[in-house]
Amino acid sequence: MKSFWALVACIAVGVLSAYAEERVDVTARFDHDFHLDKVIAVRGLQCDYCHNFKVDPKTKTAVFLPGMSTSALNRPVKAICHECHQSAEAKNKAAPKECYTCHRSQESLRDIKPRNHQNIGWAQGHSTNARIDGDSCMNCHTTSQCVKCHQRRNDVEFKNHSRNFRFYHSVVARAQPQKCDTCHSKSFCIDCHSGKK
Amino acid sequence: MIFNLRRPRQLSVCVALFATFVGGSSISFAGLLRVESESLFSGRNGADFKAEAPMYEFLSSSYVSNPHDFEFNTNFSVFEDPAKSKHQFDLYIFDLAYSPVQDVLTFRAGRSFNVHTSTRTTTTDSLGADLALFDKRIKFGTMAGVERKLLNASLDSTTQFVSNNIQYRSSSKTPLFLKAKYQFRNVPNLSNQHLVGGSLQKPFDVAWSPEFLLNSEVNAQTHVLNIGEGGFDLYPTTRLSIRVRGMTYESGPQDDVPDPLYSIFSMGRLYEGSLQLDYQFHSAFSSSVAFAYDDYLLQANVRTQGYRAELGSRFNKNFFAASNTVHYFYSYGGKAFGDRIRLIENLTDKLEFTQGLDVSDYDKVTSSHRVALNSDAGLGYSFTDRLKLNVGGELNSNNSLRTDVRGVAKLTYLLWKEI
Repeated sequence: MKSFWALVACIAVGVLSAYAEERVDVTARFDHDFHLDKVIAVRGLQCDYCHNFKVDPKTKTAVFLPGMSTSALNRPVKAICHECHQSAEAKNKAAPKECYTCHRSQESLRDIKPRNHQNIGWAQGHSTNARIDGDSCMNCHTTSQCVKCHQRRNDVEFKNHSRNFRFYHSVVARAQPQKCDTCHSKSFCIDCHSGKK
Repeated sequence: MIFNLRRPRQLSVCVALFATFVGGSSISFAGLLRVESESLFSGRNGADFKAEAPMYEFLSSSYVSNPHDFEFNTNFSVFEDPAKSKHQFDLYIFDLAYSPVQDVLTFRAGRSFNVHTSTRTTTTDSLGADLALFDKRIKFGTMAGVERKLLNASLDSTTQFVSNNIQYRSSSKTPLFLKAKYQFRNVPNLSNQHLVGGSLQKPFDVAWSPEFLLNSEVNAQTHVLNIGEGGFDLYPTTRLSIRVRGMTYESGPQDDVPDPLYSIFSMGRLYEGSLQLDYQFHSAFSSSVAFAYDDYLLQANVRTQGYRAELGSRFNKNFFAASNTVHYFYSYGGKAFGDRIRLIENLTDKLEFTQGLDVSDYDKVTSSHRVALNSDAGLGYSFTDRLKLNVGGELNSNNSLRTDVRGVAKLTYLLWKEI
C-alpha cells in the first residue's frame, strides 16, 4: 500500500512535469502586449517611457535616442518594473504588488531575499516576524517550507537539532525552556524518559 | 499516527485527495508549480543493537495560479522500516484556497500549518475566509476548525477553535502594520479559552533603517500574558545588522494538557533578552554572534538563569562552501560547549563532496563530563538540475554507542516551474 502512494506521487510529478515550461529569468514573465494595451495606451505614454527610442507619429518608424547604443531600456529593468509594481500611489493601484508576480523561479526569488534573511541566525530568529506578519512570508514561501522544520520528524537528517543534541538537551532546555514549547509537548519527553522510545 | 491508512474512511479520503491533485493539475492553468521530494535511507544498528533500515519519503507540492485566484498545498511523509516492520503515514498539509473576487475575497479549506492566522503555531483542519478592502490595506480573516497534535498517538482529545483577525497596513513606503487576533478554544477536559493577541511592525526610513516589532498574546479569562515580545532591527551600514529582542513568557494549558512541557522546568514567568550581530566581511564571507539571557521562576520564590552564546560564520564562493557554528549553553542543568563544521566542495558541476563534524563537550549535573562526536562524509551527484542523489556514511561516538557507523542516502527531486 505504501509503495502505491509512492507510485501515485511519481505519476503526479511526471504528469505535471510534462506540462511545465522552464522559466528562469524575471523578464520572461513580462507580457509586452498586455502592458501596451492596459498601461501605455491607457495613460497615453510613448515607447520612450521605458525605451531609448520613440516612434515618429508621421513616419511610424523608430527614432533612436542617445543611450540606444548601450541599452534598449532607458533605466535598469528593476527600476522600470518597480515604478508601478512597488508603488503606493493610487494611479498604480491595479499593478500587482506581490513579488512572485515576476519572481517565479528559485533563482530570482533568492535575489530578492529580504535583508533580515541574510543574518546567519535567521532560522532561529524568524519566529517573532512570522507571528506578527506571516502574510508577508507567503510572498515567497509556502506553508510546506514551515513544515520542513516545524513538523517533519526523521532521525536520518536533522534539521533543527544535531545528532548530539540528545545528550545535552537537558542543559539547553533549562537555559531556554520556552523554546521547547514551539514544537514539542510533554508527551514527547515522556515517551523517551519512560522507556517507550 | 495522525492518519491511519488502515481505516477505510481515511483511505478513501486520501485516494480522493490524490485523484483531485493529479486530475486537477492536468488542467492547463497558468501558474507556478513547486514540487519537492526527499527520500532518505539509512542502515544502522539501533539502540537495542538490532539492525534498522528506516526509509522516509517527504513529498511537498504547491500550486499558485496566475492570476492569483487559486492555490493548493500538500505535504506528507511516509515512513517504512522493513527490518522492524514499522510504517507510518503523516499528512501535514492539504489545503485549498480560492478567490472568487481576486485580491478581495478568499476562501480556504483543509489541513494547514498556521502561524499568523491562529494564535499559535499549530496544524489545523479548518475552514476560513479572508476579506481585503481598500487595496488590501485592511484585511479581515476568520477560521474555524480543529487543532491537530502530530506528536500524540491518540486523536481523541482535540481542541476546536474559532479564530478571527484584523490587519491594517498603511500605504507608506515604510508601512505601519497592525494586527489584532481573537481565538475561542473549546478544550476537552478543561475550561474554554479566550485568547487575544496584538501585533505591531514599523520600519523607518532614517539612519540605521530601524524596524520595530511588538507581539503579545493574553488569556482573556485568566488575564495572563502568555507571550509578550518586542524588539528592533538596526542596519547601521550595508554590512552590519543588529537584532535586539526582549520577551516575557508564561505558558498556560494547551489543548487537553493542563501542564505543558514548559511547566516541567518553570512554575511561572520567564524573561529573556537577546542580542545578535551579523557582519558581512565580504560578499563570500559573513559572521554572526548571538547572546541570550533567560530568567525564570524555577520554584516558589526561587528564580534561575540560563545563558546562550553562539558564534557562526559562513563562506560561499565558487565551488566551495563552509559553515561553522560554535555554541555555549549554561543553566542549572549544567553546561554544554560545541562546534559544528560543514563543508561542501563542488568537484565538478554535477559532483560534490560533503563533510561534517560536530563535537559536543557537556557537563551535566546528573552525570560526569562527557564528549559526543558526530561526523559524516559523502558524495552528491546531480543527474539533472532537478534530480540529485547524496550517499555517505556517518561515524558517531557518544554515551550510548561507543562506535556507531551508519550508511545514509538521500534522493532529492525539485521541480519549480510555470505550467
